[in-house]
Amino acid sequence: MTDSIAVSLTHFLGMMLVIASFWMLASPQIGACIRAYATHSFFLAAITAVIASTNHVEHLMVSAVLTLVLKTIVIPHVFFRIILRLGIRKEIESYINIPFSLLLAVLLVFVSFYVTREGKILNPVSLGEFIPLAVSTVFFGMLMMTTRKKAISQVLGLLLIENGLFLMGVTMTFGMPLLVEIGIFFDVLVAGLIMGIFVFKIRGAFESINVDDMTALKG
Amino acid sequence: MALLFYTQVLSHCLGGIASFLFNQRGENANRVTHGFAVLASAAGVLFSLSVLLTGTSWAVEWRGSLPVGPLRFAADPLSAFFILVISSISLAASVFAVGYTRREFRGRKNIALLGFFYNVFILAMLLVVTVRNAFYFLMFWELMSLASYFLVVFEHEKPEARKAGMLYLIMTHAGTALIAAAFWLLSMHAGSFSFEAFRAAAGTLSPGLRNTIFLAALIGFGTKAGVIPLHIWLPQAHPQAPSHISALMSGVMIKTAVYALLLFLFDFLGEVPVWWGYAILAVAVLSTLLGILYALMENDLKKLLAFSSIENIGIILLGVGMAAVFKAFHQPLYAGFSLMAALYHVINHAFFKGLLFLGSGAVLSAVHTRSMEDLGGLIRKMPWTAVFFLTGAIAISALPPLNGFVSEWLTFVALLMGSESADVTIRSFSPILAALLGLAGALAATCFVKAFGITFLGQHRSAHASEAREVSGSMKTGMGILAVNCFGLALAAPWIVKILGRIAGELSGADLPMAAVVRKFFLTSPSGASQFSPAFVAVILLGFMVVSMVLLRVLLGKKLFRIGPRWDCGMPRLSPRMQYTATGYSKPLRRILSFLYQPTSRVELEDEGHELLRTTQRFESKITHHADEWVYQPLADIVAELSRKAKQIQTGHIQLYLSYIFVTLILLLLFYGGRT
Repeated sequence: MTDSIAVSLTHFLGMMLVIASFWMLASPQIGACIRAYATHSFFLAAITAVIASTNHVEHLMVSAVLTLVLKTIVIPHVFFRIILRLGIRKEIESYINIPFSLLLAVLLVFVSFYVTREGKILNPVSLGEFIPLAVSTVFFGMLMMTTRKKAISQVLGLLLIENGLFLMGVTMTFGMPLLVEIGIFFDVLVAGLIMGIFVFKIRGAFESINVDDMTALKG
Repeated sequence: MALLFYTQVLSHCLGGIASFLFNQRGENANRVTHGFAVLASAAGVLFSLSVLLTGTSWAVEWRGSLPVGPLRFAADPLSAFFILVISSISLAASVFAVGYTRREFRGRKNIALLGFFYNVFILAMLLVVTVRNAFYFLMFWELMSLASYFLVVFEHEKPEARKAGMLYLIMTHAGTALIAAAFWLLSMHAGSFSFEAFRAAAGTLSPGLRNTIFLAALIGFGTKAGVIPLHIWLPQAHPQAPSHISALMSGVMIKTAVYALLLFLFDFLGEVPVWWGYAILAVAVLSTLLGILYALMENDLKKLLAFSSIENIGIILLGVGMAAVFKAFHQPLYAGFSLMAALYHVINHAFFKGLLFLGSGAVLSAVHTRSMEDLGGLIRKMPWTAVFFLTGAIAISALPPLNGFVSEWLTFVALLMGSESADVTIRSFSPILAALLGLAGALAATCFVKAFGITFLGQHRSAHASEAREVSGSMKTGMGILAVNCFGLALAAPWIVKILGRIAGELSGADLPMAAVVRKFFLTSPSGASQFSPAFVAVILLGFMVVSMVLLRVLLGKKLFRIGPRWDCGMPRLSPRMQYTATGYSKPLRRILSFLYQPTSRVELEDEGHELLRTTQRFESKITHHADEWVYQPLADIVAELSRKAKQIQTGHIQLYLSYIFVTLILLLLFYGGRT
C-alpha cells in the first residue's frame, strides 16, 4: 500500500466514522443506536489497522483487533441483552428532538474544527487532521449524555467519548505502549459491564431507568 | 539525645497501632496504647530537659522527594520548652487515661481507636513545634487539628458532640486557611519553605506584606488559641472530648498557636510595628476579661474550665503583646522579660489547667454528670481528687504559694514596666491593663471558689453524687504528678526563670541579663521596682498556718473541732435542694454586670385549671454571648442564604450536571483555541 493511498483510505474511514457518529445521534431507537456504535467502533478499528500497517507499528494491530472484538461485537452484544432483559421501550427519549440534536451536532463539528485549527496546543506526531474528528466524537458523546433520558443512552454516550479519546490517542501518538492499551480496553469492558449492572440496579430501585427519577436523591 | 526524640516518635507510632492487635474494646488495648504514650512522654520530658539544661540544640534533616525543600526537625531551647510542656502534660494525662478509659469506655467504645487518635494527636503537636519547614508545618498542624476533631467526636452518639465537632472543624479550617496564606506569602517572598530562609529574608519584607502576613497569622493562630472573638468553638469542643484529652487540648494544643505566633513575631517578620503590640494587647485583654466572666456564669464544670482557658490565653498574650511593644521601641531587656512572663504562664497554665481537667474527668467518671448543680459534697467521697482539684484551683486563681501567682506576678511587672516604655500610648494604658489583669485575677478566684465549692463542698445534690467513689490509682497518680509540679514550678521559680530567660533572650534578640531578674531566691523586675520570692512566700504562709493551728489548739483545746450539718445556715433540716446553688453563687455578678451578660430568664408554670393544682414549674436562665449573636449568627445566616441560592443550580438531574461540564469544556476550548 503506497502512502498516498493509505492516507486517502484513512481520510475516507475518518469520514465514515463521523457519519457513524451522526447515525448514533440520529437513530430513533436504542437498537439502531447500538448498531451505530458498533459501526463506529468498526471504523475506529479499521483506522487503527491502517495506521498500524502503514507505519509498521505492530502492537497497534493488537489494539485494532481488540477494538474489533470488544467494541464491535462484545459490548453491543451485552447491550442487546440488557435491553432484552429489561424489556424497555425501544424508542429513545430525549429532551430535544432528533433534527435539533443533529443541528447541534453540526454546530459542534464546526466548533471542534475551529478550536483545533492551529493544532499547536496538541502538537501531534502525524495525521493532525484527525484531531477535529476525535474532538467532535467526544462532543457527540457528551451531547448524547446530556440530552438523553435513559441511563442506557448515557452509557452509550460515555462509550462514544471513549472512542473519541482512543481515536485521538492512536492518530496522534501511534498508540500508547501495548500494556497501557490493553489496560484501557479492560477498563472499558469492565466499565461497560458495571454500568450495565447499575442500569439494572437503578431500575430495581426506581422502577425505571429514567434518570429523571434520581432527582429524588438530592438534598 | 537524638535517641530520646526517636524513642518518643516511635513509641507514639507504636502506641497508636499496637493496640489494634488486641480486643479493641478491652483492657489490654487500653494498657498498651496508653503505656506506649507514657513511655513516649517520659522520653520527651528527658529529651526536652536535656536540651534546656545543656543549652545544646539538635537538628536532623531528611531530603524528601517533594519539591518543598528538606524535612527538617530541630529542637532549639524554644522548641524544647514546648516539647517539655507537651510531654509532661501528656505524661500525666496518659497515666490518668489508663484508669479513666477503663472506667468510662471499656467494653463500650473502641479503645484502640481512641488510643490511635490520642497518640497521633500528641505526636502531631510534637512535630508541629519541632519542624522547620512551612509545608510540613502545615501538614502536621492539619494532622493535629484532624486528630483532635476525631477525639472531640469520639462519643459521636451524643448529638452535642457532633455539633461541637462540626463547629470546631469549620473554625479550625478557617484558621488554617489564614495560616496557610501567611506561610504562603512568606515563602513567596523568601523563595523557600524553610524557616531559615524566612529568617534570612525577614529584613527585606515590604511593610504592606509584613502587615498582611501578621494579620493573617494573628487571626489564624488566634482561632486555634481561642482568643475572643474567635473563641466560639473552644467552650463547645474542649468539654466534649474525653477528659484527659480536654486536658491536652486546653493545656497544650492552644499553646502551639502561641508558639507559632512567637515565631512569626520574633523570628520571621523582622521589624515589629508598634500597632501589632496594640492589636495583640487588645485581643489579650478582651479574652482575659470576657473569658473569665463567661466562665463565672457556666454551671458545666468542663465548660467553665474551657472558658477559663480563654482567660489564660489572654494572660499569655498580654505578655506577648508587651514584648511586641517593647521590641518595636528597641527595649530588648523589657521585651525579653515580658516574653519570659508569657512563656512562664504557658507552662504554668498547662500544668494547672491539665490538673483541673483531669480532676473534672475524675468527677465525671465518678458521678457521670458535668453539671455542677448535680454535684456537691464530693470531698468526703473523693478526698484525693478534691485535694488535687483544690491545688489546681488555687494555682489558677493566682494565689501564692502556687505557680499561677509567679507567672501572673511576672505579667503584672511586665505590664507595669510599660510606664517606662518609650511609647506614650502604652505608658498611659499599661497601668489600666495591669488593673484589668488584677480584676481578672479576682474574678478567677471567684470562679474557682464556685467551681470547687459547689462541686466538692456542701451536701450531695443528687443521688449520683452521694454514690460517688474515689477514683483508681492511675487517675490519682496522673493528677498527683501535675499537682506536685504546680508546687514545684512555684518553688523553683528562680531556676526556671533563668532557663526561660535564655529562651526569651534568644527570641527577643538580646541576652536577658540574669542578674537583673534573679537575685538568689528573689525575682525582681528589671527596673528594680519590685521583687518577690515564691519560696519565701511559701515558707511564710506555711509558718502562718502552723503557728495559727498551734495557737488555736492552745487557746481552744478540744473545742477546736465541732461537727455539724453541712451548709445548713443555722437552720436544721435543710435539704440538699435548698442549699446554695452554682447559679445562685454567680447571681450577684450577673446582676452587677447585667449590661454585659444581658441575662434572660423564663418561668414556665403548668397547672390543672387552678394555680393551687400546680403540676410542674420550670425555670430557665441564660446569658447572652455577644460574639455568637452579633458575629457568628449573622455569618451563619449569610452562609446558609448563599447555600440556598447555590442550591438552585443543584437540580438533581444528571443531565444538567453533565451539561455544566460540557458547556464549560466547550467555552474553555473556544476561549483557548480562539486565541491562537
